[in-house]
Amino acid sequence: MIPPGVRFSASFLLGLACVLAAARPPVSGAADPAASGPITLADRAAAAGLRFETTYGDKETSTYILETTGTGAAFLDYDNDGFLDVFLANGTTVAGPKSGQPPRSALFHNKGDGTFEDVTAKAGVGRSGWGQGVAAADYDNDGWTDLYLTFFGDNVLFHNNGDGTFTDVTAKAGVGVGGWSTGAAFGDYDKDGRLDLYVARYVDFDLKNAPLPGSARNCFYSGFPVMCGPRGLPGGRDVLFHNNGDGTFTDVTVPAGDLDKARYRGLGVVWADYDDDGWPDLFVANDAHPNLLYHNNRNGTFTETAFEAGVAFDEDGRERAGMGADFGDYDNDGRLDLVITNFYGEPHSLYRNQGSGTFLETTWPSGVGQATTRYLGWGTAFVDLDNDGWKDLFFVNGHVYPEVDRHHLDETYAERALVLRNQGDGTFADVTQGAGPDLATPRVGRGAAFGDYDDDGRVDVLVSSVNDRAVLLHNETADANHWLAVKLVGTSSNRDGLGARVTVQVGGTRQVHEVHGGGSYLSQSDLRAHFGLGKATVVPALEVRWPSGIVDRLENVAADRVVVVEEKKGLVPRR
Amino acid sequence: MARPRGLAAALALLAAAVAAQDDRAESLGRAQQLLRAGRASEARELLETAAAGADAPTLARIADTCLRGGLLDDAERHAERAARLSPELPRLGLLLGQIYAAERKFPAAVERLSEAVRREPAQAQGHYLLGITYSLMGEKEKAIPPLERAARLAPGNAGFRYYLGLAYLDAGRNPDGARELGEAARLDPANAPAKLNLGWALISLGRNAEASERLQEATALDPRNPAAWFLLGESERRRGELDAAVLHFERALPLDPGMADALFSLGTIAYLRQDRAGAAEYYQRLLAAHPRHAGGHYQLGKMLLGEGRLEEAIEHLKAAVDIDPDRKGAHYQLARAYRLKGDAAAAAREAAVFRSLGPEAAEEGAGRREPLAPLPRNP
Repeated sequence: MIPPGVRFSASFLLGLACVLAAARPPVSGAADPAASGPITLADRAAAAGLRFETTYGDKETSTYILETTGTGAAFLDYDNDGFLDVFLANGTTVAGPKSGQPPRSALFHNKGDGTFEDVTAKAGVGRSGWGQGVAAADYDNDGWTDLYLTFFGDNVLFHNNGDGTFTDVTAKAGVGVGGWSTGAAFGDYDKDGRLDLYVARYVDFDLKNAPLPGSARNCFYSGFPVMCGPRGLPGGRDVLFHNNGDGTFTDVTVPAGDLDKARYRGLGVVWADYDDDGWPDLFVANDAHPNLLYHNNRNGTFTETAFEAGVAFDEDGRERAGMGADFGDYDNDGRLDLVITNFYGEPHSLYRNQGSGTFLETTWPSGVGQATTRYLGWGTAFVDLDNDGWKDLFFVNGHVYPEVDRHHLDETYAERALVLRNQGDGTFADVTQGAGPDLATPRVGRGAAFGDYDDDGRVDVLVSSVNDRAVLLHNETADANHWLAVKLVGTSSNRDGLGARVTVQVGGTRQVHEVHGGGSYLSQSDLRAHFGLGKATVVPALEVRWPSGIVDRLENVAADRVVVVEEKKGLVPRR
Repeated sequence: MARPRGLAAALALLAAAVAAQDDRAESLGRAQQLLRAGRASEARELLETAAAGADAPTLARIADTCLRGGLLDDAERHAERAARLSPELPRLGLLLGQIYAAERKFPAAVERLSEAVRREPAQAQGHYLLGITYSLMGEKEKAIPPLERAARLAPGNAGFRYYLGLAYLDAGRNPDGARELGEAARLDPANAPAKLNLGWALISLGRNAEASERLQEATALDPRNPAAWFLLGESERRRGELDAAVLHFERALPLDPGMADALFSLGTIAYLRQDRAGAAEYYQRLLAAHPRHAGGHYQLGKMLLGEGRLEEAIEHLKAAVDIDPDRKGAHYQLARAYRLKGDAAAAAREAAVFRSLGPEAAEEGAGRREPLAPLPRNP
C-alpha cells in the first residue's frame, strides 16, 4: 500500500526513457573517490564580469573588532530565469568614505552565458554601512526570492517585486533589529508553510566607547597590541522572528524558549533537522563561547541541547571560536553531520552524527584536524566538488589581525582556502595544493556561497574577502562523474522547500541532502540539492520528504541535469 | 743611627710582609686548586692561615675564593672582617651582596647591593647582581629595572642580556624576553641555555618556525639536554610537523626516560593519529613514572571512552579530577561517560561541576595559545 502523500510521478517514465536512450548501460553506485580526477577550481570572476571589491575596515590595522568580521555572499535566482545570480554584502571603514559614493552591496544578474551584469541600481538593493550577512529566500511564498541583510546597525528586508526590483519592507515586517547582527537564516520551524527567521548577534558593541588595542588583557595577541575581543566583550542576544503570514514578523525569542539568554557571541547560523524527526532544529556557531544547538520541541519552542549532543565544546570541554558552520552527510549514513570553522591554532571541527541526537567529534580521526589547525576559518560547506558521491569539505580562511604579518609569527593575515577531499572511508585528504593556483592564493577570506552558477554540473564557490575583490571559483574538475541537481518548489510547504530532505539511492549508496537556510558564514548557498553520482547515469530512486510530511518519490531520474520537483506533483518542467 | 737601624727593620718588615703576601697568594692559589678538587677541609685550613693578620683587600680575595668554592659561612666571615677593617674598600659591597644572596639572606643582599649601585651607578655588575637577587627572591617585577640598567651599561655582555631575558619571561613579558635572549644568543653563539630559553619564548609567541631553528642549534650545542629535544619536538608539533615532532620527542626519552612532557606529547600525537595502541602505551608509561599525572589519566580515560570501555574510562577520568579538580575536560568527559553508562544522576552532577568551572580565564585576543609549561631554570 502506498502511504498517503506518496506519489510515483511521471518522472518514472521520463527516467525510463533516458535509460533506454543511453548509449551504454547505466552504472549505479558512487564512484571510488580515489578514481576521480583532481579537484580543480579557477577564479573566473573577472572573465564573468563579477567586478566587486569589498571594503571592510582598515587594511593595515584592525583597531576594533568591528573591522574583523567581514561580509557574506549569496547565490540566488532572484529573477527565476533558472540561473544563479550573485549578491555580495559590503562594509565600510571606521573613518568612513573619504569622497565619492560609499561602498555598497551589489546584485549581479547571471546572463546565462557564464557572465554577470551589475543590476544593483536597477534592483535597488545597494546598501552602505557595516554590512554583514545575507539570507535569501521567498519569505512570503510569492515565488520570488527575497533578501535579508544584516548589519552592524539596522538590518534590511528587501521584498522581491518580481520585476527585477526590490522594496525595502523592513519597517513593515518588523525585522530591523539594531545592534550587531551577523548570520541570518530562514527556516520554517513551526511548519506552517511560512519561513521564519533567525538572526545571530555578535557583540554588544559601541564604537564610541570601544576599548583600544593594548588597553586591556584581551587586547593583545602574542604579546603585541591588537583590537580588543571578543573575549572580554559582552555578547549580543540573537533573535528569532516568527513569520505571521501577512508580511510581518513577531519577535518570539523569549516565548520560543528564552533563546540565547546568555548572550553568546553568535556568528554562523544554520537550520537542520539533525535528529531526523521531521522538525527543523537550529545550530549557532559562537565565537569564544559554547555553540548552541536548539532542538525543536514541535510546539513552537526549542530546548538548547548542544552540551548533551556533544557540539557545544571541543572534546576537552573548551569553547572554540566558532565562525561558520554547515550540516551535511559526509559518510552517507543518512544522518546530518556538522562542520564548524574556528580560530587559528584550533582545528576546524567535524562532528559525526551518531543518531539518537548525539554527535561524536571526528576532527582528528577524519584528518580535518591536521589539515586545518593552522588556519582561521570562516565560510565552509559539505560539498561534492568532484561528483563522486561523497561530500568534500571546503574552507575559506583568513586571519583577524593584519598585525600578524609584522611580528614574524608562523601565521599570516591572508590565508589560502582549503579543499579536503572525502576519501569515502570517514577521512579527508587535503588536496588544496593540486586544486589550482587561484585556490592557493592567500586571501583574507570570510563569506562563501556554494552553487553551480553555469549549470555545468559542478558546484562553484563564491568567496568574499576583506578589502579584496570577490572571487568566483569555477569548478573545473576534469572527471566523467555524473550529477543531478534538484530544485524544490513547495506548495503545502514553504515555496523554497527549506527543511525538505532529498534522498537519492544510487547502487548501494544513499545520499541525503537537506535544503537549509543559512550555513557557511554570513552567506546563503544555492538552495538546489546537488548530488554527485559517480559513474551512474540514472538515479534509480529519488525521494523528497517535504516539511509538510508529504513525500514525493521518483524513480529512474536521468542524470546530468537540473530537475524541478514540485510538492505533490513530482517532476515539473524547468522554467 | 737609629734611622739606619729603623730603615733596616722597616725593610725587613717589608720583606716579611711581601713574603707573607707571596705566601698568601700561593695559599690562595693552592686553596682554589683544592676546592676545585673537592678537598674543602684542606682548602679551609689554608685559607684560615692566610687570613690570619691579612689586610682588607686580601680578606676580600679570600672571601671571594670561599664564595666560589661554596664555603659560604667562611666567605661571609672574611668579607665582613674586611668590611670592618676598610668599610670603603671598592667592590666589597658587591662581594658581600653576592655572598648574602648565595646564602639566601636576601634582605641583607639587597641592602648591600643597593648601596653598591648607589656608590657606583656606572658599574653594570652591581645592577646585574641586584637584579639576579630580586629574581632569586621571586620579585619578578623588581628584578627587571636593575637588569635593564646592567644591559644598558654593558650591551655587549651576553650574560646580562640572558638574565634580563629570563626576567622578562618570568614576568610574562615574552616578546621582550625573546628579544633579549635573541641578543644573548647572538653575542654568545655557544650559549645553549640562551637558545633553549629563546626557543621556549618563541614557541610561546607562536613563532614556531623560528623556535625550531634556535632549538636545533641548542640541541647541537647540548645534545644531552632532554628539555632541548622536547622543545624542538614541541615547536615541530605546533607547526603540524608531527613526524619530526615524534622523532625529537623520542630523542628526549633516552636522556630522561620518565620525561612526562615527552611521554604525554607522544601519546597525544598517537591519539590524534588514531594509533590507540601506541597512545595507550605512552600514557601507561607516563602513569607508571608519574602516577598522579592528571593529564595522563585524562587522556587515557578519554581514549578508553572512545573505545566504549566505560568502566576503565571512568576510573581514569575520576583519577584525573581527583588530582586536578579544576580540569574541565575531565568533568566534561565524565559527564559523557556516565550518560553513556545510563547513570543520569552522575552525568548531571559532572555536567554541573563542568559548568560551575565557568568559562576559561580571559585570554589574549580572540585566539588562544596552547599553554607551554615553564622551563625549569637554575640561574
